[in-house]
Amino acid sequence: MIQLEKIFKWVNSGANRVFLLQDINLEIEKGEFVSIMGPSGSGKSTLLNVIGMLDGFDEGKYTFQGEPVHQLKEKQKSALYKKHIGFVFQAYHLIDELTVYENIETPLLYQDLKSSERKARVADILDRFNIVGKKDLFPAQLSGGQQQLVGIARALVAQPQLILADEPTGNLNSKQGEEIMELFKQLNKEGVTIIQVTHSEKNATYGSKVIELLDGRIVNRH
Amino acid sequence: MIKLSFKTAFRYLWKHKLFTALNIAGLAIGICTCWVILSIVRYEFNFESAIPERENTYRLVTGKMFDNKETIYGGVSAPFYQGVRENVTGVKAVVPVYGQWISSVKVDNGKELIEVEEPEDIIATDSSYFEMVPYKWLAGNARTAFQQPESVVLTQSRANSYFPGLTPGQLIGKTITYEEDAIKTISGIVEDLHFPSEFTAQEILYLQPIAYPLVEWTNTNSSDRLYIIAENDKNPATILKQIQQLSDQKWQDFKQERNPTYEFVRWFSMIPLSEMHFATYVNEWQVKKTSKTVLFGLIGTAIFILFLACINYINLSTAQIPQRGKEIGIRKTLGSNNKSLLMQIFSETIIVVLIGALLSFVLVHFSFLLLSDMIPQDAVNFQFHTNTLLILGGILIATIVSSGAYPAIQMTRVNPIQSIKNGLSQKSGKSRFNVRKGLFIFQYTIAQCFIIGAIIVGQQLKYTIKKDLGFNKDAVLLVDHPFNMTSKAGFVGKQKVLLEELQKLPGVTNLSFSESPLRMGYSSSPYIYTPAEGTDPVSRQLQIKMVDHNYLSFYQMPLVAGKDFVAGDSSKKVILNETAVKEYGISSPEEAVGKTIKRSDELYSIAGVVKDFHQENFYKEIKPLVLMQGDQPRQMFNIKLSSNSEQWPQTIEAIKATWTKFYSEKYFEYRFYDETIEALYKEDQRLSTLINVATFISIFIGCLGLFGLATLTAFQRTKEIGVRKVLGASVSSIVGLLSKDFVKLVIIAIVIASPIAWWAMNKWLEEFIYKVPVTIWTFLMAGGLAIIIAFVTVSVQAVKAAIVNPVNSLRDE
Repeated sequence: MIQLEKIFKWVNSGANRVFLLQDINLEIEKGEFVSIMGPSGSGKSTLLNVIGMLDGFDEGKYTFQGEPVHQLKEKQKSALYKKHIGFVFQAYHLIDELTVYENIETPLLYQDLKSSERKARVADILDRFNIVGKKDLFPAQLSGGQQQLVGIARALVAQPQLILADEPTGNLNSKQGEEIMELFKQLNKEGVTIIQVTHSEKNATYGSKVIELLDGRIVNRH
Repeated sequence: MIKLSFKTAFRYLWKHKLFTALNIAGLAIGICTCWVILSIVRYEFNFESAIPERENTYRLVTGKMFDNKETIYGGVSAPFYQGVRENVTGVKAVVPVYGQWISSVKVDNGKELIEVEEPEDIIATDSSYFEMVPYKWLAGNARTAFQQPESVVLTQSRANSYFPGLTPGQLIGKTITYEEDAIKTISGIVEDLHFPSEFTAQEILYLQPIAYPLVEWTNTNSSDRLYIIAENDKNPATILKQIQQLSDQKWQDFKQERNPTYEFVRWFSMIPLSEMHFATYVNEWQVKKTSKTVLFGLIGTAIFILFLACINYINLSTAQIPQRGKEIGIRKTLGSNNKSLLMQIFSETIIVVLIGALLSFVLVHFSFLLLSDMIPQDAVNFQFHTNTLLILGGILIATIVSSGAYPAIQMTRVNPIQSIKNGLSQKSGKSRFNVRKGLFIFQYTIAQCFIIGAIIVGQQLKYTIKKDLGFNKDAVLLVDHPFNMTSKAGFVGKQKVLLEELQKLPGVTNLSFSESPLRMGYSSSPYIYTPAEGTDPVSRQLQIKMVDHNYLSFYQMPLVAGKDFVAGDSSKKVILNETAVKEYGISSPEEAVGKTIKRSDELYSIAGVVKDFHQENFYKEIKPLVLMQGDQPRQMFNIKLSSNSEQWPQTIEAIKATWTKFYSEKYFEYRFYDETIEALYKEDQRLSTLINVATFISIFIGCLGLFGLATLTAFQRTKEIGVRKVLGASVSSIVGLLSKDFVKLVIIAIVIASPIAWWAMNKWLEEFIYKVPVTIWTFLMAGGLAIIIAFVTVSVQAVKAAIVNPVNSLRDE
């Protein structure tokens, strides 16, 4: 599904070139659950953003489902991730001014789905996540765990094949965290590919594969 | 403490350069507008300010019926100054200020012979004048000035133009020759008045007390002005009553002596000198007048525009509070009280307003230069007048208070714990009504009123020029016949030869020696039409135009019935317009042809009826008119040039060359007809310029504020924009999202402004008889314009926000 070959990413600071990613070679198959680990500043989030096509890279090849991402234009990339990738953030990033229902509906609006279709899908997902009763609440009225649940629901509503999660449990207590991880596991079983960035060894055990990063290099994979 | 808060304020403003610059720019323009208008208003209200007895000084003006309308004239019958002095009680002084029309002045100053044609600002009066007007004497004095009747007093500036280089003392005893033979000796030199005044005299002659013939008591000349200084406790009404009696008595005497056929209605009114400058309803020439309505309109405009700038400040400062939340929260937890917070905000406000004021000082200078044709030139002198500066100081303080107060209150309300923990909720202001939105709507409502006003005034002005006037005015040149030549012998012959010579010039396609169809001023007389033997005669006041046989074809005016004039026909034939036919109750134009009308004992037969055309500006309706064939002093050369406008300068040169063979070059003054018609709407042009400037300023200030708000909103919604982009939003959908809220507010403003502007513009258009219709399209156009301007302003920021990579905006901490 995903092939990264010799990916380099750097920034120039004065005369020095600081490498954010160095020589990343990575292959991820459909249906895998990958955890990216490493200390702060090791390039976990950068790698995730590159995979999510939110961020570019300076050298190397990236193939997503057979499409050479490094050759695609911005518009094509955007169309690609819009269709196939869902994002989950540590700080949830729900839109404060929209209700739970509207938050979940937003990605569908950008995909030009019919109103009836949107309603059906949002209702589905609300039902599945057991948050029907909260659909008219605003994010500020929810607990952190509930907010992240909505965040995941929003990521899933467009039926992506890949979920990218950047420290999804980082702002949650351990019980809420466990629930979210269980949910991920469940989704993975249903066939969704998941890549998560995490600090927690325990969270990593939910996945099938762990990649350890240090200073922008892959130092270990198991 | 104060020093510290100013230091922090400076740093804060410097850090937020964009908003500081927007605020300063808006306030500078607002203060500049106030300053300029304040100078104008101070100037206008300063008229006659230094006249010692201003409170008790009145101008006597004459009321008469003219065209069935009560009309006030600025002058009186010349003998009244004697009559009032002798017969009226309760009067402290009576001062005649009689304007003198003099055709030439000759001065031999030793170096050269100066000759001035028709010099202006010459009056005749007596020594009472110097008691009323406080002149400073540079040579001579008020007592001795008119001891000799053949004396003249000059102002310093006039003396300098006649006798350059001489001191006032040296001028006493020099002579000036008026009208070829009247030699007057200079008996005094006075300093020019240092305050604005209607006493603009530069040469003051002695008014010889003569015994006026009775007929003079009934003639009124607008240039003969009479001032009355009442005794302190005397009511003007009692003085007026005596003057009315005097006038009635003289009329009775005149009736007995002459037995006139007409009736005579005349009344008087005493206008306080302080009001004279604003008495625009008084008919007189060469006196500067200003309508108080216009002044109050200006004051209102100034207040509104400054208020717009204050709103910008309020909006931008309050909108920044969420970002400052953390800073304020920390200050509060460190124990700062509300007082020191207020001081912080007000230090910022004071700095911004003062910098704005400094900048406005530069702007004021440019405004006076750029708007020199709209602003009375002497108003510049009032720019640094003590009163102006005092009021301006007050305005600045009011600006600081009104701009700073609301942001300050909002800031003291910040909850410290909440704001430190997670910044201030970005939600504030969304989806519910708040002060900021209200102010924004108010701002755009004002701008919108100005936009609509500018469009409608512009349309009406265009209409006055573009509308079919009933005659063809294209490529027509008007050259006045020298007025004072008409009395000289051989004038008719000379004029005819000149006409023939001009006709021969290449580039001149047609010619008519006539009164132009549409012009300022006209003469009119009653003409009587008797429908049938034994019926009542119908008398109507007809406007008269003296024309030649070529007139109708020259101006391409269609005849609706009858025949045109024939060259050389001396029988008394006239052409009426359609309105005149209707006024006489004649059923059709065809019916009118061949009928006769009568004036005094002269009979005129109607040769034809011309289609109605406009004889006056659009404030007046088309009046009944009679065209007569003949030679009259009021006529002028109407010259039609070829359609090729590149040739015009040559043709005009050729006309001038021919002209100088007959008359002196100094009488050659030409105007294009289009221009003279435009000149009829000078006041409206001024209004148009004024409203355009106001529109521009209010839109500009509004845009500054809008730009600032859009920047802030884009900044505050950075996270949301990032999330939406990650979820697949396109750039255009984000621009739409950011612009939508502002456009909504602008639409509300349009809805509020439209009826207000509709009402005001209808009020203005009411004065016109012929006017453009106010249609819904005007409002749609103005609204569309406002929306486009708002959208473009917001888009600049919105696009910038929308193309930011979401990775950057979503990075956590």
